[in-house]
Amino acid sequence: MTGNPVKTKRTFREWLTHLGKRIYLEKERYILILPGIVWYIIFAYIPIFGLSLAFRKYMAKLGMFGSPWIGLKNFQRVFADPAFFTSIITTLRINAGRLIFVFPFPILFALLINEVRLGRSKKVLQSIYTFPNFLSWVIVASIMINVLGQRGLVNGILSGAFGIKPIAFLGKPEYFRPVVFATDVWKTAGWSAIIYMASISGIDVEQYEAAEIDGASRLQRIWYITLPGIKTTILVLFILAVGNLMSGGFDQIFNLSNSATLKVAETLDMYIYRITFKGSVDFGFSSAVALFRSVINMLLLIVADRVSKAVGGSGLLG
Amino acid sequence: MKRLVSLILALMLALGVVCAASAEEKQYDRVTITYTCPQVVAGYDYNAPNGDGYSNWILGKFNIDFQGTNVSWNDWMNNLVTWIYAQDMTDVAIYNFSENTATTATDIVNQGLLFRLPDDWKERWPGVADVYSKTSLGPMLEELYGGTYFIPRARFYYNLPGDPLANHWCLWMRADWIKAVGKEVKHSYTIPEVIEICKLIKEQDPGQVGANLLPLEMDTGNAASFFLRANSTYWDTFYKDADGKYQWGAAAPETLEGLKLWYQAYKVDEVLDPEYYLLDHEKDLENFQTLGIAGVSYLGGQTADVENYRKTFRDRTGHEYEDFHMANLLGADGYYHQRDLINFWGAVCFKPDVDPAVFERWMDLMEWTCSKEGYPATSMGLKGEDWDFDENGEIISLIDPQEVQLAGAVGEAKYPSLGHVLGSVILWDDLAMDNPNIREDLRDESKLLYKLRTDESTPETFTKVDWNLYMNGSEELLAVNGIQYADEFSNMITTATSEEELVNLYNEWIESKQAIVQPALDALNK
Amino acid sequence: MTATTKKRKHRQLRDRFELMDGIILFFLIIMAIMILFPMVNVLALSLATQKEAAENPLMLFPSQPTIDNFYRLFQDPRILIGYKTTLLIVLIGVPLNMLLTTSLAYGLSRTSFPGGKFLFFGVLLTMLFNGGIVPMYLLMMELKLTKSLLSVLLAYGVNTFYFIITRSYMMSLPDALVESAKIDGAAEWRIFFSVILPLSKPILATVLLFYAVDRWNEWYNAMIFLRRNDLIPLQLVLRTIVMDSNIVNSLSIAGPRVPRFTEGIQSATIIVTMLPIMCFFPFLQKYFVKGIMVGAIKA
Repeated sequence: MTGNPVKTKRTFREWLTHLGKRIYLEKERYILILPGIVWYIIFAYIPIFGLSLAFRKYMAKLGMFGSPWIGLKNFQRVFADPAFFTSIITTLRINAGRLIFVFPFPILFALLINEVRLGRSKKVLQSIYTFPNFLSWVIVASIMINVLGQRGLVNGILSGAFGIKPIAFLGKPEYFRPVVFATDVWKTAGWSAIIYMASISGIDVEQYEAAEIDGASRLQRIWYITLPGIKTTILVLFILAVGNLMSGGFDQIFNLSNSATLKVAETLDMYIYRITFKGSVDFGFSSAVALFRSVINMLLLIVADRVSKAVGGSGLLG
Repeated sequence: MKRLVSLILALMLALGVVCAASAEEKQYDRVTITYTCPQVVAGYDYNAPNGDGYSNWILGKFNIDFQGTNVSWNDWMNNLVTWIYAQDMTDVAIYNFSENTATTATDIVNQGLLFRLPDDWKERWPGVADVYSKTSLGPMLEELYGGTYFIPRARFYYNLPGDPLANHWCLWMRADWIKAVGKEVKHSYTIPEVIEICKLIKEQDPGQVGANLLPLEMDTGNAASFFLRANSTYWDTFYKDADGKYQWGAAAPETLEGLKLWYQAYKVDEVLDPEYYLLDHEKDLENFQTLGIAGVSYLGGQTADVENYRKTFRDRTGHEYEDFHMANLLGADGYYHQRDLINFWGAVCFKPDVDPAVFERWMDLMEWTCSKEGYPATSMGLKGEDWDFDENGEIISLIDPQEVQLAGAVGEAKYPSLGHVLGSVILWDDLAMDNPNIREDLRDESKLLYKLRTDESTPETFTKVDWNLYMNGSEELLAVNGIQYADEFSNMITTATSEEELVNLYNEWIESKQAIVQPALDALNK
Repeated sequence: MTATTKKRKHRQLRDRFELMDGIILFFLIIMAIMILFPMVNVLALSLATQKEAAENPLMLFPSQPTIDNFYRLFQDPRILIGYKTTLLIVLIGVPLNMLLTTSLAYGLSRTSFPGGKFLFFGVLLTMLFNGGIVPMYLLMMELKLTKSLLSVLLAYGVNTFYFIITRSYMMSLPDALVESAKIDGAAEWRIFFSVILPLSKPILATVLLFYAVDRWNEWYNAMIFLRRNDLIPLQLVLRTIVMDSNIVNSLSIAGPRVPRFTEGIQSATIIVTMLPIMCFFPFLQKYFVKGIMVGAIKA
């Protein structure tokens, strides 16, 4: 800052007037977003300060903000256990796998359903694909035992048709991740496809008509019109998924895992559950883990966003 | 005119009855009492006229407007502690006291978030005080906290089977199959004896079950109890050795011995269900009880349920009660192994600013439920309608237990409110031993099994609780408490391909846990 | 759908049903079967007896169908309270969600106004950070909302994920439409209601569906904030019934223990949960499932 003070003052005032004008011009927009913003401030931001419990000893009578600071004690406890770091690696491995093996399926579903020519069957099919979304993971897991267990359907077919000895699909660590991905696709892809289908519905129909006239093939149409039309949606969902690499999927892992797959299934959520499930209630500990997770997720999200922008896509963060 | 006279007469009569009643009973003003416990039936109105016969009667007797809050089992402590910390708990709550929740309990007491009972409470409610004195936890906490904040609910009072208190877990066996393979039906078996029987069952398939036969059927948790807890008293905790130093039970030789037996049953003799680790939601119970395809299981054996289990077994498989045998499980050394179950489950506590009238009313209610007359009512319903005393003062049943289901789910049971919700400080286990609604020979067998658990043990294999360890809330210990022993050991069993490898996996695991175990040992031995 | 588009579609069908259509349809039908098989299994279990279910867990048709499991659900007086509460939550909650989400999404679809970027980041951040249940509970207490349905309604106002997809959809709408409306002197909310919302039907239908399902499945907040027996949502009732039938034995607690057919009751609860949503689904589906050549959104 080398400019002389008088000049700075004047530009500041100018800037202020300008700002005031801009705000006045956009007053309707502010009114429009007011309810949403107020909701966020009250019901999302005030509770966020609860994360400071990670650095405090909660004393009920002193309140959330009066409780004494204890520094990094909660974090020391979290970091003392080697199993914590193992669980982070496990989480990242499973969730990175999801990005590769699960993420594309809803897009594929949406594209394929969109290509179905018979109006009625299209709706019926699409409805069917959303059904599994309503099954809880407890149910899916018990179905899986009947399908993939040693006495289950798949082993029955394998041994009946090829004489293969029963394979413990659910009891071998090496099958665990594939089972997680497959069941995830089975349960959620049809439901998640709805977002892409909505996005496809928004594509300008004239583009397709023009392509028709030009004699474009079906694949060309998908490649040059449909996919670019939903590119933004794909990117946004992808960035959000990256920003979620440290969390998610507890219900699924919890229900599909068992003592035989312990070592590949202990994600961060599972670790927290294990540490706290016997009933010791420790908000400081939970807050410390939550804060740590959120920070990592945020870093991942920012990286994903920059990368997305660097390769020419549109980022999420504008 | 005649009508009017009879009306007046009737009124006077009623007045007389009320006066006579009030002569012996306290007159209560109406109070509203809020209450939290997972056993509260969610959404069920306990109050007249919507409740059932029992709840309407007892809430009427104490003139309580009862507002129960249900918490699901999984969220119980999290919710309750959230409410306590927010200083917004119900008047009365049941705290799930255990080794793992003790630290939180101490913290909330220190922060003044619970009601401290008046010092003279034991004189004012002597019945409750006497039950309290038998819970071990209650008096210990009172000394530790310098006052009473928790009233633990006793599992046993009139029928306490022993101190230390035995667990009810026992072997479920197919007596007809044991006889068919030429083995003796008896009250206690060692782990190797059970494996031997299962081997014979597997070879001979006396029940002609075929490919679905499961000689030894148990889920991961029960298998760990069967092979490890039954063999190594301290398999999942710390203990004091002969020199008074704390040691880690998972590293004790008996634990490895139990692990080897597990391996033998699973991979060598192949009698344990090949996919035992997939069983949950009591599938092991279902395979034994409903399908009749399992030879031996290791499951609950509460006196209250010994007949129910057999009834289901009979209805579903067509086998008689006699084919379903219950027995104790002993370690390879021939002794019964267990740590004190501790004679309580769930502790009553009050909110710090509880209205004195509410507190007193609830204490009065609890006092009544441990009286000679109140205590049968908490599990058998209304005196004079469902049960009564005979001329010798023995409890007799006035219902047909095959026809009437007293307690249970809404819409099925006569009294869904029965249970531990409305004031009980003595739990069901106790009355079950005298409950005429359960067949006498089955109750006798159950009592015998309780007795044998004590008889077939030594003070070293069946031990009293170590309160120093129980109440120790150091961070070092909390970290170790997070280890899920059953799953960790089970993982070694499914991973190992030879006994040698099993031992290696075990040693590696013991080594890998030193990072958190050693600090805990240091803290304990300090 | 006009007569011409209809005709065009039929012609297309006749003319252009290629091999590719066959392959796609084949693949999709295989997928549908893989999904339908377990669903039919769940339906069958809900109509089966415990013994049959245990013997043949993969059945598609129970040999002796029984409505026992449904009977058990519906004889429970709490089911009515559950439906009533959940209906209230959905009918008041979803419009609230939609209002907050769409207005915010449009308002922030352009962040060039003063504070716009800041507000948008602020909203995004809440997706990553949240304070947990204790501060939320303290807040609700402070606002005197515990034990009132308002706590449940307000605790879930905007789902940031739905906000983002709505916003990104609105951003993809052609600017020209907004500009021309502006030239006509329309105020922002006029543009929002008469230009943006009608053009956003597909995403509105999607987000509406998502919110409706979330609200329909709501139980956790009700459990922790409400604590009232006359206000328990359906899912909490169903959870309790399933849990009643699976009383925790492993904790060595004595208590009434009546063998119940947990899987059957669980399956029945799934059917009971899904049916109303499935009835309501087609009304929204028409907005996001469209033929390529039909249903132009342009006016």
